[in-house]
Amino acid sequence: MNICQLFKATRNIFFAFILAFVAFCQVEARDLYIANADTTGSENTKPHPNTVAYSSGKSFFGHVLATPSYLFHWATRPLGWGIKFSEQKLPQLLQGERGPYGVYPLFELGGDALGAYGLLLYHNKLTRYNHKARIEALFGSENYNDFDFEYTIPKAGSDRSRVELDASYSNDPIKSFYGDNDSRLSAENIYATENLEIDAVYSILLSEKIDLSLLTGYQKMDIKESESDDADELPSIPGERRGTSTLYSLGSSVRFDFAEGTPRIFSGSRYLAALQWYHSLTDGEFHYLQYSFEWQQFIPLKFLTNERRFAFKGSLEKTAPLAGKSIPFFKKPGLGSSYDLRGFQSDRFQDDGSLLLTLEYRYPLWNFADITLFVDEGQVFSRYSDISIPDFHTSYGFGFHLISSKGFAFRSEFAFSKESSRVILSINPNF
Amino acid sequence: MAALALFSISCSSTKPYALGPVKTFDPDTSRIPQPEENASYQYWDRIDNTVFHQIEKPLDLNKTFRFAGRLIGVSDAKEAVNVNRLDEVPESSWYQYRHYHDTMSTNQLKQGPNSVEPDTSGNWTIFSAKLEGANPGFFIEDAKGNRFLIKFDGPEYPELTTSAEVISTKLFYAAGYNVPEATIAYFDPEKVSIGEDVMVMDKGEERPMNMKDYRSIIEGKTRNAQGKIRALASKFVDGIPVGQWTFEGTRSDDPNDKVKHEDRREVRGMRIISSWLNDTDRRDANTMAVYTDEGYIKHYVQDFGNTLGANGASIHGPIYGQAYLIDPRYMARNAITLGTYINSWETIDAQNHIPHPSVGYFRADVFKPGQWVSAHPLPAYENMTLRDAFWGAKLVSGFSNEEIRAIVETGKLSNESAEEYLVDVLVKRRDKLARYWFSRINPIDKFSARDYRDRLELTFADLGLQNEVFTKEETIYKYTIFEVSGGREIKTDTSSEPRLSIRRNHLPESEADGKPIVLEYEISTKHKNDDVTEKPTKVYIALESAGPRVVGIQRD
Repeated sequence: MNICQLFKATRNIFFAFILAFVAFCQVEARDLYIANADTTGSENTKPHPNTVAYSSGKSFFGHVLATPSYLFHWATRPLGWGIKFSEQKLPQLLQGERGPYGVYPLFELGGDALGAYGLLLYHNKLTRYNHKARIEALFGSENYNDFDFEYTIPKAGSDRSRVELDASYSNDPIKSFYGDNDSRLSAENIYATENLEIDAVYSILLSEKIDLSLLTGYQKMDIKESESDDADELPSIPGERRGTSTLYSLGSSVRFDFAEGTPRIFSGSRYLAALQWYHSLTDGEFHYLQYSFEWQQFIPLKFLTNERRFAFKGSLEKTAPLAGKSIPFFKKPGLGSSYDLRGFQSDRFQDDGSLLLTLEYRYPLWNFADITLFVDEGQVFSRYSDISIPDFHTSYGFGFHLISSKGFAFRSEFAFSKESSRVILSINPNF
Repeated sequence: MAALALFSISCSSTKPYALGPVKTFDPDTSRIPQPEENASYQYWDRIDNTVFHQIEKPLDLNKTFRFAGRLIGVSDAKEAVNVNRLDEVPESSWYQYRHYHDTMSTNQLKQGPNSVEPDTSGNWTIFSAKLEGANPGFFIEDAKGNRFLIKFDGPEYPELTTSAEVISTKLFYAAGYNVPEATIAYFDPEKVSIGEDVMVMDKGEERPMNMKDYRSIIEGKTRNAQGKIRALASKFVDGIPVGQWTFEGTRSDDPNDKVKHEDRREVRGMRIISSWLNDTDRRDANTMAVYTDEGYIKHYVQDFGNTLGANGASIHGPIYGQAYLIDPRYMARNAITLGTYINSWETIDAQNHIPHPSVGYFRADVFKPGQWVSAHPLPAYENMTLRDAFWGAKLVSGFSNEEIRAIVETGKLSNESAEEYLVDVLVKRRDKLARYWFSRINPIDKFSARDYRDRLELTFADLGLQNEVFTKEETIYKYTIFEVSGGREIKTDTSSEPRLSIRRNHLPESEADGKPIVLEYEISTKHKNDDVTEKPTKVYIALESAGPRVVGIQRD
């Protein structure tokens, strides 16, 4: 075949394709034309057009071409049946209205058992003072379970104060680094925990903007060798860190809230300060203070709209041993979570103190959703003099925040760092 | 060869005119067995149309190829199916010829669909009620035995929702759609009692209704000087409601329902009327299918409480009509531009644009006829073509200022300036809508042919002129007359009047087989200040022994 023949063959194929394409484009148009039951009536044999109904439909080729859409259509129908069923049988579920009490199923994906299931029971109108109770129970595996009980007295002594009681029990395998600012990835190890915590918080609104809390707590933490599947791949925790610790704490916190905007916070600032004293109840090994400060600042881009804004968070956390005692490693300030250095693994850096700076640019995707672009800078340190600019670790990413009429509702964030990445799905805001 | 065969098939077509009678009625009213009532759902159609339907569209390769074909100019948009040779929708269980086709009197317009008003002199008996939800209300039977749905205005916007319901009901009715009766009623709250066995849902549990429930419903409702409560009374339609009709597909248990609803012109073209009235909540759940006494399903449009400035008991937000409530087009733009693009509705505080609480948020200045959308996508509205839009626009443009005013008066707004405002916005939106659509298609309609002395005369209405989109001075009609049989050109000329005439002796004689001669008029409307001449409209005239008759219209 010479070049000329090849050219002609290519040309013919091209034209055949174009003709087929045009034909396909017109198939439905032809059906439509035929479907037009407007008969001419010029011949006596034809019925009056008013007696012939219009109808529409696809040709065989039309159905063939529509097959992908048919498959998709029917694949999505079960969801529709479910929503219709819910609307008829469980209308409150779709209306977002929760009754004063109820039971909901809980599901959790990931983790040691790859999944956990359980129940949430709540009652928001206990007693004539509208006390609230909430029980969450999650069952994962022999190595992972979580139970939580909360009881809230909304008006404790006055309309401006309230009391919250929280008791939780969990057993959970934990991977951690226990490394300082320079720790390597290879330092990761694993242990199993059995943790019982009971906290009581008394909060009083001193003014519209100032909230004071007094808190006390009890914690019993049992640390042992992990028996989870991952224990074969990671080194176990050093022996000196195993054992049972029992801590009692007392503390207070104050929060100044000058932030403005509903449902999106777009301006103003928030300041939080907390101080907590810890002491071992059994062997007296641990005795220390923990204090923290946090500053949140919201800056609207007024030349656009208030919904386009920067959000900044700076937080400092520090522990200080008392009377020559020590601090349990699992209570030391750390970085690496869905609230601080988001692109790093959990508890990636840990020391006596931590410093975090976060800057987010938040802008509306739609009236019920924001996009956020963020960068986190953080480091841990032993002494304040150790803090230096080169020691900051950087993570960055983007996310989607769902906004309800009351404010933040849900976030889905994708964070990255030079070491790792993290996908965050959470109903709790970062700040 | 296969491609050639397909191509040849695709090119075959029938005549664009009908020598017999023109179809004016679609016989979808045959008696059928009574269908089961299909349940009405609030959520699924909105989710389906917003998400899954949008994904299905490109997966239907008919649509994808057609879209590609349109891009390269080898294919057209899929036109509506139920259109006759005069590019008009025949009457059916969906649609009746009314104001545009046969001008209704002012009284008829004001009367609308109403046959009877609730008797407010006697006692009302509640036979059903709804306590929960955004708009609690009840159903009553008056002393004469007529049954009505009773709805109220929101506490912050007296007269708003009820007037919007009545006004839009009557405009839709005059446009040709089936709507329930709706009227404003002032009733004595002391002349209402609760019937036996009336149950209400209260916090998820059913219990008998009591007078405390009744008083909670009427608490804070709009009252007149005599203490009577203002309400919307919507009469129960004749027949048996059998659920809703949908904006896509057909009803499987209705053998009369043969045209996919997304292919019906009166459903597609409804988008234009919806845009005029900012009828944002148009969706499956706000329609009604009724099994009539004659044994067929009649299709109603209902629930106009989200039209004009009203959004249920409250007001429309600035986004309504501008974008879908979940609109991936704008969401994508917002995301890509990092928020630097500000959508027009974002910076509007609706409260700053409410001249009277009773008219809510209803504006003409921000109305964009070509971009108007309902709150959620509707397949039929998405399928609207330029021809469908022209059809809808001509219905809207058929209402004069005085006729609009007459209908607005039936909303019984107590504030005269509020009424004036509403009329003004409706007129301005109508004009804006006409200007937009009539400048995109040759806006000529209502063709008529006659013998006048020794001439054949074709007259028509130029909707562009009638609606002052264009001036008579700048408008000229360029036309060519062909003999269809043989394609011979008979005459090319221009006219400054919507009247085209030709001497009879210039026309051919009847054909030998006795068939009438058919002439094709190819008419373009040229505006002097406009470089673009619209695509021609073709009008076919049969020279029959009884006189000339328009037998076909083709718009491009």
